Amino acid sequence: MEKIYDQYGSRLYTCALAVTRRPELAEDAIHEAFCRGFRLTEVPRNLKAYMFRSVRNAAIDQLRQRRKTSSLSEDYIFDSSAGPRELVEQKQLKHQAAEALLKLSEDERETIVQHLYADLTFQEIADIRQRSIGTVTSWYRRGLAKMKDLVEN
Amino acid sequence: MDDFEARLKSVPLAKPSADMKRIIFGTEPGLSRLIGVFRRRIPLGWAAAFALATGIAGISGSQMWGGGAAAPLQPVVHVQIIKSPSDRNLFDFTVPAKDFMPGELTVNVQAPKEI
Repeated sequence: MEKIYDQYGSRLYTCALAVTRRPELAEDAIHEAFCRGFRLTEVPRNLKAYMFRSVRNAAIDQLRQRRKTSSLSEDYIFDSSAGPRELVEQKQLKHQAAEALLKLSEDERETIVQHLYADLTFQEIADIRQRSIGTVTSWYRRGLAKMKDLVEN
Repeated sequence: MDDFEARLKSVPLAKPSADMKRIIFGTEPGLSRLIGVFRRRIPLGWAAAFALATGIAGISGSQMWGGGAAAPLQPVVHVQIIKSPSDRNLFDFTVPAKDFMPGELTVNVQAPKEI
């Protein structure tokens, strides 16, 4: 489990944050998912997919239980601690990307985060979301086209 | 990955707090492994056998070292002050009395029959 955290911890956090939009809820979701992982009697066939699915479910649970407890992260899944040294162009792109992502449907947004930022393959996303690979690919392509339109125009 | 995807991917992502791993896996690297051992479920038969063996070992140990007899209870005397010449607790011997206190002291003493 520790190897899984070392390898995928940041990506799991990004995926959890994409759902909760609140850093502390995202961390709680990861903690909960790992606690569930510790209680497993058998190692799942695809532990990576299992952990991403478990974190997603825990994030949805956290959001349902504690929706109004804290403020939303302004920069969505992006680093808000870059400080004054961050290039203006980079800062602008960050805000545009965050705004554009939040204008997408939940499925499109989550698929883009999972594929582009968490480096999951479409097959892995399909396994995690329990949808067909065609549906997942379609969410991604549609979402990306919308984002391109929003960011570049 | 096209140019637009590459541009989006270049934006740095938020990271979990530094404490996150410590919270999940414990403070020491070895601790998580130890916790992992205890978190693993063991078959019911093994658990029952372990409980039985522990019980038998406990009973035989107590017989071997003469631990079978219960330790005698210390008798307790209850003293209730009914009438006292002072507000001070006259049975508090942790503080030395400054002077002799004249007056009448009425107490009710209850002692177990064994005394």
